[in-house]
Amino acid sequence: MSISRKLTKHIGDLSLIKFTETQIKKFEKELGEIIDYMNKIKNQKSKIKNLKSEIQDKCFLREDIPCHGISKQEALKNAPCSKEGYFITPKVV
Amino acid sequence: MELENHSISTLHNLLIKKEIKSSEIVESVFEHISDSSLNCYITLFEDSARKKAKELDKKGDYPEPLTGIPIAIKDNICMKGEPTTCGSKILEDFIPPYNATVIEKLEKQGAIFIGKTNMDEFAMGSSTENSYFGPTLNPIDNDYVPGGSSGGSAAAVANKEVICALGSDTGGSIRQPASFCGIFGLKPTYGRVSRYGLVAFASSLDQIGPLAKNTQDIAILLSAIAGRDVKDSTSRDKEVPSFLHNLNSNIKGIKIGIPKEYFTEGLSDDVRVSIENAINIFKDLGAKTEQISLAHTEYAIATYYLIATAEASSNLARYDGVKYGYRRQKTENRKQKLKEMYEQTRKEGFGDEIKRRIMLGTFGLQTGYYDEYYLKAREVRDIIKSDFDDAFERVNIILTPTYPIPAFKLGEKIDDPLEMYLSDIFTVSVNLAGLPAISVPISPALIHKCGTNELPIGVQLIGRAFCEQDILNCAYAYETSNT
Repeated sequence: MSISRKLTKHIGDLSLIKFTETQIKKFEKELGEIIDYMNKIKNQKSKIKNLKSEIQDKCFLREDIPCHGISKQEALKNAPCSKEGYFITPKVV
Repeated sequence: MELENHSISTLHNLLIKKEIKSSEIVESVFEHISDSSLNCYITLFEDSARKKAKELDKKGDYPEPLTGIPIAIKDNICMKGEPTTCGSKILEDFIPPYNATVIEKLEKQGAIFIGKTNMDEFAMGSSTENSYFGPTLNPIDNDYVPGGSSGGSAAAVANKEVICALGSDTGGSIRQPASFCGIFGLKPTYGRVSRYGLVAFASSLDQIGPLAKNTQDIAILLSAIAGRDVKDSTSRDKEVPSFLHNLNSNIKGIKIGIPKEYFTEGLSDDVRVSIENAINIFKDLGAKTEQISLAHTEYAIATYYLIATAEASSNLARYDGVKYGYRRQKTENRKQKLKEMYEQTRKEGFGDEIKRRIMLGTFGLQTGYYDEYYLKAREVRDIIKSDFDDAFERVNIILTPTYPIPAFKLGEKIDDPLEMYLSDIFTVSVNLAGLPAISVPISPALIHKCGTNELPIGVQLIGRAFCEQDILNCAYAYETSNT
């Protein structure tokens, strides 16, 4: 299955990345080849019913104890744009 | 005395005997860095490293094996107050407000941080060519890549620009560059080392691990960074022994499995001959070898790239130009819309390989394709893991080549992403199964004897979960048999 131009554009939209037409054309070809290769796993079937992998089974939780995280000032230090203790984004509405 | 040639344990002994000072080791390392054109480092800590070494020398106390020893850190591991770029434009100016747990542990030991090393952007790549800060060169032959994504760390250790280093391994990113640069590199069991403060690529596969010049140094570093951490819910409460003190080169009777699926087409003659010779050395050391089967190996690449990219597309969604990192400022004389800012920021902030993998991951997770791709890959991951479980019923260690070919030339594979992915065939299964593995350099003399080229080749030893000591012992036996 090669993926279509329309599907490539749709994935670009979902990924929130702006592409030029030339880039979409390039990714359409590359992703098509890669996905064709990925298709080889389609017919594999596991005898294991429970798909929760061992890794996720053995996660542990810590006690919910309040503690001090980083300060608001520190949290905003890396923000490209902030004002009066808030992250600033372009206007939404 | 060329201090940068020595191992951690030798330097530690010299420090204790007051025959050398930490400042002298630091100076010798910086001398090598200033003479180098390999581009191993993104950031150097010249002032703080010198200051810390002087303080330690003044006290004259070097209680831990790493006290006063220079170490380099891959630039995806957070260090408070120091840039952590992940080799990306989008994090070019990011200064973490906290330390990764491994940094806290190394600081407690008194290690001296020399700098942050170059890497493929967000650890996605096998050549360190995908760095916003330019490629790192292979120290053995500058026309070749050092491997990746921890190429800066591997090249720095091999070129004596540091004594040892940390890297991260999601699908081979410690072992493959170690193999290309002729050094040792270990990927610990998933959960052995805290991932807190490691910038996430694929959270169910990532592990931090050491790169060094010999097995003893790897053992020292692993003991220093391992252990359960309440800040990482996937880290495991397993005893952390002194891997160094437990090193044992007697491997008589150890059963080593050789998977037949790893010795098929695509394996270069150079690597095949070198690995066959390495197997003979293990036999001479008293190990018993037998052929085994990891029957679903051919599905590993597809499975790995579906899972890793799905996790990456989710993990990298946080880079939106709001909380940290690069933001595309409005350029046109009109109001910028939020979505447009996100899209432009990510377009300009990420390199092509990152975009490709985010797209691939998004594809596998989207409605209508999720069951067919992502969920199926999860299923096949379990099958691959059960192959290893079955094999470890019969053998203690699995031996494979680390990579199918020696280092390739800069630019040789960069335009063919699928070919680059396919070459990760010997390393990705280990991450899917969460197992520990080490890449051990085959001695240059042996490679020369085999009539192959002079580029380094690595042999990979895979162990049972949390049995790092077993693979370290085998590596140690092999290494000391060469000397």
